[in-house]
Amino acid sequence: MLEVKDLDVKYGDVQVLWDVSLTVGRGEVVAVMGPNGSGKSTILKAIIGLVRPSGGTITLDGKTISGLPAHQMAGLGVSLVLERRRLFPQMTVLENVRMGAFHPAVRAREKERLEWVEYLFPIIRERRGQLAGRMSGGEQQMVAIARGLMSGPRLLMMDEPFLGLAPRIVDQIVDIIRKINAEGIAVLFNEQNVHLSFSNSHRGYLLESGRIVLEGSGLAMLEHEMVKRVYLGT
Amino acid sequence: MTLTLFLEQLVNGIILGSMYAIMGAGLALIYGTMRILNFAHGEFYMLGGFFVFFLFAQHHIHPVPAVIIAVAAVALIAALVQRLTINVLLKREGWAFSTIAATLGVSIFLQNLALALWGERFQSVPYFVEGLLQVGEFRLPWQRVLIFGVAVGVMATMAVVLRWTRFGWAVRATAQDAEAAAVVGVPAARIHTITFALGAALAAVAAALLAPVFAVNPWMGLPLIIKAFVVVVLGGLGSFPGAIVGGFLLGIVEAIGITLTSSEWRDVIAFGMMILFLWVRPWGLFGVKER
Ligand SMILES: Nc1ncnc2c1ncn2[C@@H]1O[C@H](COP(=O)(O)OP(=O)(O)OP(=O)(O)O)[C@@H](O)[C@H]1O
Ligand SMILES: [Mg+2]
Repeated sequence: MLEVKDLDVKYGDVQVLWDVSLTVGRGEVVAVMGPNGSGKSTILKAIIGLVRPSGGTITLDGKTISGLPAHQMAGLGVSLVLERRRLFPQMTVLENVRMGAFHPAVRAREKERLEWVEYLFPIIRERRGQLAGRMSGGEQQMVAIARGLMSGPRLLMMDEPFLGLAPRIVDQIVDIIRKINAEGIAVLFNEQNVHLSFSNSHRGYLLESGRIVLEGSGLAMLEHEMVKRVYLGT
Repeated sequence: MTLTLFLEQLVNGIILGSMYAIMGAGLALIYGTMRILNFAHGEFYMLGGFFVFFLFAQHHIHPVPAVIIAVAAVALIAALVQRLTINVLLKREGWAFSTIAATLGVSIFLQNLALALWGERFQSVPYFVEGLLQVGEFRLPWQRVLIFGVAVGVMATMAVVLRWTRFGWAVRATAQDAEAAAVVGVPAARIHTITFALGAALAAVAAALLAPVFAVNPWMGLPLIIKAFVVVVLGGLGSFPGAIVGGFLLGIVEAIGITLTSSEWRDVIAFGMMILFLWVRPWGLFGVKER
């Protein structure tokens, strides 16, 4: 469904991604693992259109989407939950979630989608009137994912969805990823931790200094010598 | 001083305060969404004044359409200015400084354009409505009642739009996190243009209403933009409700201050208040304390 080919990205004169190629198939969960500053966020931002690639192509179901502005992507069925949640802090929980259905192409189904995300995250109904900026990190992550789902995406991308969260919340989010994937939504997420990345995905990629150095099934990645040696210290 | 005189001063303070509020709200709206201090705000005010002068005083068009056309024209010019300067600069590095330089440039350009077109003399605009409102000993020109009524109406409309319309949600979302807004489908560049135009339109409304009171000339924007900056500091940078409360507060404090001293002290009072705020509550009435 999503195909990224030979992606190059530069910030000014500094190149941070080199020849990155990856795919996400229909209904797949794919993880991109990489250390701090390796370029994980940049990949997702290039796909959604927040940064402009300097080379390579990005296609969705065969149609080129590289170069399209970010505000059109929700209409094409691609959604991104940004790193560190990035809710609208002075808007209420309900307003934040409803903003997720802002794009004209998805507006009509706002009501039924709201029921759906309220079922996935009961906290939304409980806290609808609260200002988003006043919630805990875990609660904010739930609202951020709910906002990302409100456009009814075929592909949901999440930038470090477990970052800084308590183990109990991490489990809840893993559970949510399973649930939405079971409904046929493809998921592409970033993570720094080997186990979180590859035990929760069908396939995975290892990113180092802006280059993909390894790819394989989740299980294969967990078992790979290089991953074990460098990232698990065994 | 008699009680009536004091009351009259207070009412005048509230009315002038509504103008400060509307000027400040325009500036705050622009700062809130784009993080730009619009130094051309006073010149959009000035253009509004001259357009009303041109349409109403010179060509005797009825004040209602005259004001509407003047405000719409200013909004259009502002949208164009935003597209050609700020929209381009925001995408580049160093935009925080370059946009200040750009709005300053626009300000000087518009002043000189007005000078060339209309000359430097103060030109007076007749009152839209004649006569006095009289309650007992208390009197107030209807023009001032009109100023206050229109200002409150415009601000209430803006508040409703920001709170309950899709456009308002898009403005607030873009102001709070432009990238997150873009990801959910808000076209940030278009929102920026419309917001800039709206902010300038608020200045034009103030000018249209005040033109008959203060007369028009190319530099008429200067005192008002200074007051607008004070208001925005009082209210909290970028806060729309803060600017409205700050505007009324400034108007009232000035009015009371000058009845106790004299009218030369007006600006001293305004700046004294701003400095006091910067000292004890730098984030303003409605701003959020930065950590
Ligand atoms: N807006 C920017 N301007 C310039 N350089 C940037 C910008 N954003 C990121 N970079 C640089 O690009 C590289 C990759 O950044 P990116 O945020 O994609 O990494 P990441 O893997 O997501 O890191 P983290 O784990 O910290 O989130 C880093 O060296 C970073 O410093
Ligand atoms: Mg990152």
